[in-house]
Amino acid sequence: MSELDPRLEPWLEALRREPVARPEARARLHAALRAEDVRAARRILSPPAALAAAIALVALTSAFWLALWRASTPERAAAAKELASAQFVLHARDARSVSVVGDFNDWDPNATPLARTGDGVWSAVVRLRPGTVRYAYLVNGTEWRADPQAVTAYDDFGLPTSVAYIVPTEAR
Amino acid sequence: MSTRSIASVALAYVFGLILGAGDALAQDARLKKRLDPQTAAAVGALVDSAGALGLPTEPLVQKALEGQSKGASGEAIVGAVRALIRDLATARDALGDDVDVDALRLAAAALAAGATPAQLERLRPHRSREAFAGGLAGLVYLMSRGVPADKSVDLITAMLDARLSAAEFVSLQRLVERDMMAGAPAAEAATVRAQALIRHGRVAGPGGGVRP
Amino acid sequence: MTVMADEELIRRVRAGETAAFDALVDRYYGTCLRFAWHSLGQREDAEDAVQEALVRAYRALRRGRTPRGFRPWLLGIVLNRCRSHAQRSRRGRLLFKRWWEREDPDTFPVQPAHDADDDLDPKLKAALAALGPKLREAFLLKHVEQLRYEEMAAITGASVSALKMRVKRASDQVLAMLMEDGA
Repeated sequence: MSELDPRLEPWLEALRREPVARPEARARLHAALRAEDVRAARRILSPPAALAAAIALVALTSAFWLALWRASTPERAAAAKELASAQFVLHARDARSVSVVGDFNDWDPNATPLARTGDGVWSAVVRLRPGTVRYAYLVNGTEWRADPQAVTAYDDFGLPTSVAYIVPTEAR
Repeated sequence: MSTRSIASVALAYVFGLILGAGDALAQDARLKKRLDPQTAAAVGALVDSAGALGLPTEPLVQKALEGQSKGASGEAIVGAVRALIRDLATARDALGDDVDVDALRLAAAALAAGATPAQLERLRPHRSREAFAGGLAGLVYLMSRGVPADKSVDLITAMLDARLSAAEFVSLQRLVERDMMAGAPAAEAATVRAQALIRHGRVAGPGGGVRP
Repeated sequence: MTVMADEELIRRVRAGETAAFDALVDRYYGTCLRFAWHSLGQREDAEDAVQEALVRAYRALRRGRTPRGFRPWLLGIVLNRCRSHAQRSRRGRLLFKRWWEREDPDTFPVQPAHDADDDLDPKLKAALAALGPKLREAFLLKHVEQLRYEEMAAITGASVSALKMRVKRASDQVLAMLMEDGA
């Protein structure tokens, strides 16, 4: 039998006060509940029991387990996404060589050279994993330039760098 | 379950484990190959610690390789990796543990651009949205164009509330760039374009309508 | 207008009336938030935990669950969400703090923002925070949410006697901390 020490009473009074709900929090809750309704409606339309059982069986094969393992960390899940094509373009009329150097080629200055088209326009198309990518252009092997068409990032080394976000293919 | 399928599951699992261990070894190899031994050891230790804390390690390795590629000193490289660890951890604190690596990297970039953790926290409720990383990319973009952080967060939150897609955040960037080239101030252009995208999203309904 | 009892509202939720659940939320949101906030110490985390709990409760009711006492049952779900939250964030933050302070004591990352609308006495907050999670849970359920020991046992999984002991220990500890420099 626990008897409450009366000296605690005023403190308990403070603890028992119900906090006022914030409208944003209530709105988010409301949205989450409505999303639940949508999810529930979809479940009703899902395949009949027999087909569902067959699907469950197929899911026990190695492909499923590998995918599950890959999705088990955020980084692995990201790697499993489909590659997207990105075009890198730089206007550099007087350049003798241009390459794009970034996360996707381990910042190797020689890995991804751009090709010159007639007008001083240099370009390359690269298959990239969707997501965040940091990169910069290297002109004539010595001069670093950010991409004028992308966000210029703070690079820690005093040199221009760009950051871009490649949208996953499904989301386009 | 048949013996064959059990075997194939086991094989896939072992294969997966090897791949996972291989990841760690490969990272080490890149650092050892490109950095001087002292810097490679220091960075390797930082990467290991960060990994043990559940932070993504690939961005850290890439930061070191970026420094090497740009001819930075070992000290500068180690400093940059530490700063990135701090920003990633702060971003994770602000946004929660369940945010993916792309969103975390963008959030770290926002912090480096001057956003405060409190400002990032305002985006936290939206972290389960599919377009969340796209929204953060939009935030980094707006801030890089000089739109004040609070205003940027206001606009991005409104767009996330309206369930706009990642592609629509990219559209925002394109449209604001265009407006700025025509002389419009960034904050104004951003507000107008964001509101238009939100209105358009409402009319078209989720996932529908023509993309600008 | 008549005020409907919980049982009637639950019946309507099962029948598909979404507004019935909204009514339950109106009735119990404050309770849930109060418990979660005192458990976790942070408003934002508490709001997250409460939201998750209410969505789960909604799902369960829609699937036919009929809890005998709605309020204790709901608090049980909130309690579970809080436990899950606490586990996740505490591990990450503490580990990082320890490691970072070893690395470079001057550059510890900024603490989470202070809760502007939390007007609870800081001594009381500290006393609650100093209780271990199990003691704090028991203390809050008994003396703030005022559940019966049988209800508490059902939702925490602990025995009535264990809970009585935890409540006593928690009360003694809180009192001792509050009385330290004379209240």
